[in-house]
Amino acid sequence: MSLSVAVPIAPHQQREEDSDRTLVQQCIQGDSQSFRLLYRRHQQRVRAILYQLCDADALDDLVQDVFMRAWRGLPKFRQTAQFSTWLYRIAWNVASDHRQAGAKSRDRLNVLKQHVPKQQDAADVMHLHYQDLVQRGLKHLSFDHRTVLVLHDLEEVPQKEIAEILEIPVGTVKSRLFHARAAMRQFLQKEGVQL
Amino acid sequence: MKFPEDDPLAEFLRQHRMPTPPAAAGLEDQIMAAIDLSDASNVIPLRRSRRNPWLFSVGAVAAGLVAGLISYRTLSPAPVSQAELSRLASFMENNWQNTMGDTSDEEFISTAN
Repeated sequence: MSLSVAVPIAPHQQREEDSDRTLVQQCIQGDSQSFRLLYRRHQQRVRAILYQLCDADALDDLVQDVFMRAWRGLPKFRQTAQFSTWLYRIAWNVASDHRQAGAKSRDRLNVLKQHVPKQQDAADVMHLHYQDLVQRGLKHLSFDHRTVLVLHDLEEVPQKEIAEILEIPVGTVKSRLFHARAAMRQFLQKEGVQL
Repeated sequence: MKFPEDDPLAEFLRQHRMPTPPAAAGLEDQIMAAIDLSDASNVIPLRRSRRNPWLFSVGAVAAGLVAGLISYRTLSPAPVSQAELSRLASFMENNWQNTMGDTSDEEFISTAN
């Protein structure tokens, strides 16, 4: 004989399991704690996208800008769309605005200094060198190509979703990805990296 | 559309991507506080925007009517009572008679001379 015991689920645990859609509904009704959960779910990826598209100096401010815009825009959010797609589009808009504002790029040397450990072996040095190359290669691309490459190859967002985020046809995503990869490969080869 | 020839490139990019810097301590609370603040500051504009513009015109018309009524009541002369009318009539009669009487006497005297 087996006894089934119903284990009560704590309210906060239940909320952790809520879908984005449910949380969005609760946010629209004014529940800011649901928005906190959405933030925790998506902030890391939003942060990564912004970091690859902008410089690190203003990263926290940009992340805040994205989530503030999202909160204000929630009443207009169409429930048919995915929340993450909509959020990444906001992130892309914030990155575009930041870029147009003419923000200065961060000095790569400073970035390297931050990440260099005190004791390192040759492999670490090569890894840091490659990191610098990837970062410089991304900066070498146009903003449109860079965006597609970051979303697809680094964040592994499907092409269809990228098309929705950028509001462009899937064919354009493929074309930009092709050219972005070609330019990146060319840059790396010029720097002595054979793939 | 897959780009199999670019798999090594994508793999290289993922492997050597610059790690994302961690968020500043308290960023989450800072964002939530900003959201609460934006809510508080949104209350007044939202209520204002919901006001019906017709209410303003109706109010303006009502205020105009009240102002007109008050000015009519204060600026128009008060009705004259019967006693005042009779006093006014006797005043005019006396004055008229005096005027006529004096004039006629003078004329009479002057012509007599």
